[in-house]
Amino acid sequence: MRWLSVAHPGHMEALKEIIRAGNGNIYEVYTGGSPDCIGTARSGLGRTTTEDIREQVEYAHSHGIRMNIVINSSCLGGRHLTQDGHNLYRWYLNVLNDIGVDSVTVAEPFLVEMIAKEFPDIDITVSCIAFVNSPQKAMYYEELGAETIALDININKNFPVLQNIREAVSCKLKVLVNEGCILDCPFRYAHFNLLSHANGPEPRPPLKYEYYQQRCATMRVKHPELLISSGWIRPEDVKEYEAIGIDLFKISGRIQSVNWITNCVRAYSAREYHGNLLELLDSTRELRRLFYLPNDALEGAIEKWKVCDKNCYKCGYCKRLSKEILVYSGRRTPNEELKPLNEYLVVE
Amino acid sequence: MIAEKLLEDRKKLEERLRRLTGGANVFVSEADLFAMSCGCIGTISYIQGMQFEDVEIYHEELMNIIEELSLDLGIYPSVSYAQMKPGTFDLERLQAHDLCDNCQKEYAGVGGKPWPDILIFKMDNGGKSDFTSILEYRSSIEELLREISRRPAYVMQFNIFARACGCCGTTAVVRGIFGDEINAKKDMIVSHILELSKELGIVPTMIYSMMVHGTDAVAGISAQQACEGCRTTYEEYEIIPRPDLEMLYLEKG
Repeated sequence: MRWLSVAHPGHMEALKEIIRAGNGNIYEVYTGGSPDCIGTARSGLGRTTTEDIREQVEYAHSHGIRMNIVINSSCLGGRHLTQDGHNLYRWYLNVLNDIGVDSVTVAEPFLVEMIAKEFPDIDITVSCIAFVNSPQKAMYYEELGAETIALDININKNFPVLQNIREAVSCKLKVLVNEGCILDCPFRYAHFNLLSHANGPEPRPPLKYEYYQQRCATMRVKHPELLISSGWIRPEDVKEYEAIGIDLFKISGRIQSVNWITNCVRAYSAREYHGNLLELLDSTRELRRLFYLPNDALEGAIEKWKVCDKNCYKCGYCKRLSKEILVYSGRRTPNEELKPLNEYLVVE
Repeated sequence: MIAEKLLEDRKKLEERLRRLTGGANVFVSEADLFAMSCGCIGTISYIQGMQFEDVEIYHEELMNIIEELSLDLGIYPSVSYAQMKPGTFDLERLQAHDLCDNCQKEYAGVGGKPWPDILIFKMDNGGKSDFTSILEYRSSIEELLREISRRPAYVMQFNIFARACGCCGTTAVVRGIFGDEINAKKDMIVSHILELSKELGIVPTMIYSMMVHGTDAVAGISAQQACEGCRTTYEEYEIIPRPDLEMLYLEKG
């Protein structure tokens, strides 16, 4: 059975490598479309043209893999509710439909309903940044027309809620396995709104410094246990999610290098990984060059997380586990070392 | 000295690109030497006035120009490439890296396109650069910040920069340290940076920390040898160039 939904940076060379690495496990690949019509909540890299997408759809289909185009801006600036905006989106979706795109990922409820009504041949995935985190919310989206719901990453380790959602809806459920964002991040909504404008139609904000990314990196240096408590799912733990009826497992990383993506695909396909878990997480590169989180040391932690009540203040389990983290210093100098975290942290 | 060479090389690069593109209005706003936390070192030149198609047409020439610039600065480029402005056809920068082992894996293969928005000129094995002491400069600031903060603060990137106006200096892009911690050990930091700058041939007229907008988190620490124009502005009018800068050291006159 095919069960992986894999990030694709957008060029044919990447698609070929990703499909090769997938070893028959890839259900779909997803990539951004043209930022001039509808943006996405991730940085866009190249400018993928309609012709590029058409060729890639054909190539993916020839390998039994579906193509998903991500148009998951969390903020459309009200454009979707104007006649001009509606017409533009309709035109763009017609283009995607004509070139054989199988599904689109959206975060805006209006688009879910509009696409379900006007484009019955296009399947709808509700984006993880629609923040579906309860059975009720999942039911609303299913009723609007969702075929698949990518769940809010903040409930990835909340098994009772995941089970309740599974019971409440019959659509496919997808979890994002390798996002490195912090649990219950205070910046999440605002950051995605910012990225949606930065990677959407003009006018785009002229960003030189990015508050949210800088602040979140600093928080993780100050509180390294945030690296542990975040919503990632180890390759070894995928089976626990399959057991409760999760259908698809999404590998994030559209802005990472192709070799980085294929490394993740191989690890999740094999359902095991021995190395720095941060190498699999879609977060800033510098964090995986700073910290070493041995994946093997996390074996069995899922049993605790399955019954965790997410009250980090009282629990302290992830904080205790963070003692396993090692810190790099002096990279590529004669003083290069990998030191235990507690050599740096003040004991509080 | 390296800073002087970088200033000259920026100017030469701009002239060569203008000649190459037939006198087009190409502008190299800044040329940098950098060392990253992963162990990569390299050069970056920020370009305005060139497009993706220029890069395709002058592929060979650009590869040679970047290689010569990098070698002149002591960096053997194991990969060199053009980076487009995301989502556009505008050339943003020309870059050459002597890659660390991890990044070597990320850049390799894929028909020379590890990302869709970069165009690789060449790729081979790294580890042949002369100017590896830049890694030790980066590391020395990181160790200092860790000692001050008592947490694994880090220097994401250490740059030696040369700007079109004539300013040169260094910038450490940092994470995990706060303004009050920097201020409490201001003398220690200033003295370390002045010492390091001396070895690079830079005489800083000011040293400042850049804050993450509206917060107490520090985003970078820069030492700048201001050009005559900038110096006049900063000193005579006592202008702090941006509201997010906190001056640690300002030499007048």
